[in-house]
Amino acid sequence: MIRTHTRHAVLPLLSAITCVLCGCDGQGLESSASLNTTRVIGESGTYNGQFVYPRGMDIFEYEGAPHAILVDKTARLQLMNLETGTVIGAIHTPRWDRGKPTGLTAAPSLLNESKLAIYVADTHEFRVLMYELPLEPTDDPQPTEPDFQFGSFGEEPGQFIYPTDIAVDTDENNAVTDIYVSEYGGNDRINHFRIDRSTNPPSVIWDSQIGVVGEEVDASDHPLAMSRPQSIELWTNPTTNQREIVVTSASHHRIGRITTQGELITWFGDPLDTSDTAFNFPYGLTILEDNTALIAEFGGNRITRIDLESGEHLFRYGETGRSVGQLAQPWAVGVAGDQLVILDSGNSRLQFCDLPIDLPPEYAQPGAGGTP
Amino acid sequence: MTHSTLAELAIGPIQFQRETYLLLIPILAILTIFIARKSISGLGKSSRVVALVVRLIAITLIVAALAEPSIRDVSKDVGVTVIVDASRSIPSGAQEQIDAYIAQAQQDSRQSNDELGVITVAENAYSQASVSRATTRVDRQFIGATDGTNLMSGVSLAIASAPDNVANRIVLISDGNETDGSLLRAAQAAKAQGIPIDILPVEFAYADEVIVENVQVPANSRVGDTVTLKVVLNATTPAAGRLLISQDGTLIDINPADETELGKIVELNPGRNVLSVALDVTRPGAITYEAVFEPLTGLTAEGNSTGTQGDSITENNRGSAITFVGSEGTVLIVADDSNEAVVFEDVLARAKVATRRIPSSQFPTSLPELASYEGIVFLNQSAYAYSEAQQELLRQYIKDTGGGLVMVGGPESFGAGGWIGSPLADALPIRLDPPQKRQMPRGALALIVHSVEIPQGVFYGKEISNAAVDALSRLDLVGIIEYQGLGGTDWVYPMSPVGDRVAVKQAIQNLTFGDMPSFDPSLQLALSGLSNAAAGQKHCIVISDGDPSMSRSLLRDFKSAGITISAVGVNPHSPSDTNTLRTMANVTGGTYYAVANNALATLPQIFIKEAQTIRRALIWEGEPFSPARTGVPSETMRGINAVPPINGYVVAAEREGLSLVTLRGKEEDPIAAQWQYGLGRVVTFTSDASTRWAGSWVAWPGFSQFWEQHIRWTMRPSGDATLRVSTENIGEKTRVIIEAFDPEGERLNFADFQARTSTPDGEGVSVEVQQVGPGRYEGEFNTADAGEYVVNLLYRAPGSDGNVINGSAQAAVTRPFADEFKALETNLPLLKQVASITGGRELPSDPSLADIWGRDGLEMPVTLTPAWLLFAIIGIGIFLLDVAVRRVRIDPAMIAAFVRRGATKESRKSEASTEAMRMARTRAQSRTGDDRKQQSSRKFEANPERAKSAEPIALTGEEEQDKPTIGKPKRTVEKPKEEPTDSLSALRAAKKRARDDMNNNEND
Repeated sequence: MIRTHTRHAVLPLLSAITCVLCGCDGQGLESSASLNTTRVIGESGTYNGQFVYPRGMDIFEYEGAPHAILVDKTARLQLMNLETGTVIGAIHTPRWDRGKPTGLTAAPSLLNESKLAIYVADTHEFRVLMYELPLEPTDDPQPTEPDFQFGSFGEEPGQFIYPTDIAVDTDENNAVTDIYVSEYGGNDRINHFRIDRSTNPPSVIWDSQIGVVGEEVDASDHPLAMSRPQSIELWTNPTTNQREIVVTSASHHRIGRITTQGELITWFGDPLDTSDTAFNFPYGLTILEDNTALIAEFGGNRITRIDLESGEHLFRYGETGRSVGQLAQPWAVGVAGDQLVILDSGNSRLQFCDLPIDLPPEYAQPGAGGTP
Repeated sequence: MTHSTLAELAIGPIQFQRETYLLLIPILAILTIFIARKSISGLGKSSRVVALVVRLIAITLIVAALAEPSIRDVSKDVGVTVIVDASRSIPSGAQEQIDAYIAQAQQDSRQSNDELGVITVAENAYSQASVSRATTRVDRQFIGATDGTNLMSGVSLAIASAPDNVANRIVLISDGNETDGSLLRAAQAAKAQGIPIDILPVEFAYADEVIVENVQVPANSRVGDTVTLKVVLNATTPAAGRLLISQDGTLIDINPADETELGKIVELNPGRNVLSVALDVTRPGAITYEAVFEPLTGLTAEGNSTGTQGDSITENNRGSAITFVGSEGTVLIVADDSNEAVVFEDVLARAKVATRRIPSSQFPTSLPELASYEGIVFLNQSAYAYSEAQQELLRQYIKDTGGGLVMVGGPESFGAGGWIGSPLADALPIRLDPPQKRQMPRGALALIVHSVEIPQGVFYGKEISNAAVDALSRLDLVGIIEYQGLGGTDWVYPMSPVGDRVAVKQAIQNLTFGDMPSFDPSLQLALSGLSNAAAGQKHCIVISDGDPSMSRSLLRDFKSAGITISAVGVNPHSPSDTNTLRTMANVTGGTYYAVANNALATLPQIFIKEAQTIRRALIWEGEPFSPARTGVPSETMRGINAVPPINGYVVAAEREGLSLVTLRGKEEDPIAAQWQYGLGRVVTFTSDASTRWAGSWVAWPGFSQFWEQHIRWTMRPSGDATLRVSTENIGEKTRVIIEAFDPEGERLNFADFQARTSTPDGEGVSVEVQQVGPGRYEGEFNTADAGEYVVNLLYRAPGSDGNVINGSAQAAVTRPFADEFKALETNLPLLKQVASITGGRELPSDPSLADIWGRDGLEMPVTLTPAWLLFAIIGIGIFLLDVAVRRVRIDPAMIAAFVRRGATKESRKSEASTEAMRMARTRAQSRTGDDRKQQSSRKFEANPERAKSAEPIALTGEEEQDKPTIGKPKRTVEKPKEEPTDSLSALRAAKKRARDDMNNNEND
């Protein structure tokens, strides 16, 4: 269990009262409701358990307990046990003078399917890094070379400008088969790579490009026009039984569903919609087991849950601010136990929130970005 | 929640703020007992005692609530802020020892909830880690400049950031040598806050050290003289080294006997050594000599090498001095178009005034060099050709050294040349902003600012924005857009006239430089704001590292609206960012500027240049007309009654005060104006001196007279007397000594000196000069800061023949290195005084004995949580119990039965909850475990159990077993007769029963 507090009957009751007072019934929300934060981890700083504007998080089960991998603007990766709040491993990426990573995904290692690894979108170094777990247990993290890396700067197929997130697909034996990398910086798209296991170590072979950079403000120049695809996830549509990529096209303020072959299924949201109900720079994305998705809205300072099949908004939580229960530029969101875990980047902390409704666990797709 | 260390009345963990209310308790208790004798006499004995006790407790609690009780929570934790002196006076290697000391002290003294914070201090203090449990070691992220020590700022920062939920200590690790601020004053502040400062002196004494204390050269000399340069060196031990002398940055040979050696090998005795070098003066102007001592070896008493270098700090091994080599007054002509300059050279050559012509790129960068000219003529010079420092030098040259400036216009000059808001603008006799009465086309500028991810990026960002606004005229429109982290993209200063700049500068001060994800919202706002602005020139400037996303179609909208974008790339993360910003500029017709981390100081210049694009409106061009002579009597216009026509000039406004306008243009605009600024004089002429705007002037017979009179009026007077000026360093002050002789060679007495010195911070100061002997005058001024000081002396004295003798002289003083490098040992007395003032300790050198987190002598902070409501609620609850004791009969057997039922239910619930947890844990097992296949299969197909449970419940006609039933159940039990439930009804019923009984009795 993550929460340290015993669940009292009064808590759901108070939450329910709060929800009623805020006009929230857990369904079809249009206005954002307050968060019931029961626990906060982190503060501004450079020591273990502290963050300097953390910009990437993935929550996953590790050694029998929920853990989060986090990266901040000091280019430090911290592996944190979410039950105890302790950091059990920390490293620096090898270089960070140009900028720091933003996207993290926990998935089986490319080199050894029995090991779990962290895939790092090393954004400003134009590459993807992979570190097998465990990370070095230290309170003085050092620059560490990855166990595997690929990518170089450029606009050619398979090259990156600013990679933002990684989604990993595996076969039934847990072996990595495909890697999807989203990127922006004038080359806004998703690169699809296949894993060639005829070599040792395996090779990452470029397969296809999904999406193109949007030149028009309203994204009218191409059906798959993207502007800063910040997060990607893989998901199997229960209706069609088809693999899909779900992407947050942050600067177009919309969420897309695309087949792994690169065909658009639908967009949720409109780049020109500036109403309160529209997405406002959706950054973080986590799919849940019940085929809904949690979206961390960087610009809206809130967490929105949508039905992935219909796009219907199921709830929206979060107020702008610095106090506990308020958010400042959240980059990521996840679920641990039955609590909402929000990477409250602008406040350099993690907030654990109780909801009046039960949240299902994160979608158990191995390797998909941002899921356990 | 409040924090207090005062204890008004504390009983255990409860503290009462208004304890006098508690006196009510015994009074009310006696009253209660008295009343209770009658009111509860009807109860049984035990009930009576219980009722009385309960009532007394209720009264006690309610009265206690009135006394404002709070729950005291005394902190047990200590927060230590370590202030580490990171200045260069601390010997290298000491920092590692400091880290090790703190690490060891933590092991021995720090308890689990104790906190640590780290502040480094050099020229400025920086918080490296806030006081926190998470902080475990001394980190140094950005320590700023290290050429000074401001321990006061470190202590002040520590006090300001001390958390209030722990007892605080400050540990100051320093050599105690401060160059700025007052540590003692900070110690008083710490004492007032109750924070002791423990000291850990970094003890050192440089055994082998050589300092160049002073370099002396006569302040004035003439070409052909041989001057003696004296170098004063202070050595702690005997040492040998090489003395090198350079003149204006070029080494000169002071050892002609040895062809392979430019310097002179010298041996130094302990104490002060004075070395003299004879040097020939070969050219006029200011000459800077620099002496450098290169240590070679330490020496024994017998003069043998010790094998060591003989010197520890090399930063203090240099010194310099300046001599002004006299000549006939020289005027510096600065022009980038030689045709314009030639005309002035001819005029001054005929007037027998020596000139030197340079382009703007060769403009002097030091004040002494500038001060060697008596006057400067600027021809059509634009501000962006000069650094901010050079513009400031020019202002000081006029104000403090008495130099003259003639500023002649052209399309690149005055307001159109970016001088609005520059340091020089203060020195000009006209205001460069156009007068309000002029209806002129305006410029509009939208500034888009994005995060500048470098140390002090926000500071530079604000400087840049200020520079951009300063460069605009008051009529121009300006607006600022930024991404505010919590509020999204918006105008932080809506598009509006610059005016007096107060409001817009306030907006700049509040900028946060948010990290915008996309340029689109900002560009859309700027486009809309600029499109709607009533302005002739419209321009947008984007400051960014270039990584936000951007829709290129917006740039086409800018282009079609005729709005240009200039992009300033500050440390772009990648070629792609550069490309984004360059595209902005290229598509819209603006300019792209790449600014590296180390070139930030040049950024304001970019904005001055950029703002120029919207200031072309300040130029008037039209039909030729002759500027009107104002008729004001002036030395500059002597014998000139009319001037030829001009067909263009830069519009400016008249300046109130002592400014004198001698020629006016359209709508009374000043064309020629003059004034005295500080010790110097300035003339402005807003038209030009070429065929562009003043074609008929060169052929005009009065041309030479006009310009010669104007230039001569501004030139610093060379004087008739002979002044020998020398300077002498006395601690942090410098004494200037003047020996004055009249033209006959007699000592000049009763001279009235007006003296001023420039200072490194740009603020000139007046120097009081007094006669101390026949023909001898002295004055003193402060030279504590490192840098150059130029003293200008203007004098007036009665001559022997009754005439007035006047003139001027200069002297220069340099302080080549900061005080940081003067300290040769630890200032232990100061540190001990600080510990003594604040009640701190001198920490031992053994960290295991330091007990940095020690509780001794600390007053632990108390947190008070108001508890009156709790008292009141419990009191009222007990009061209700009081009623219940008297009115309700308690059946213990019934309570026991109730408890038993409850326990059975809880046990069932607990079993159910354990089962739920077990299921959750199973679901959450590791992906990489053996259950992997099971999970894998689940994600590709809907979970049948889950799908089933998710189905809506179908309502059928048949009732299912163990399901909730719909509709009312059949009643098999007859409804019991309704009994009264409330006390009023009970009372009524009792009354009715009594009445019935009475009736029955009567009937009976």
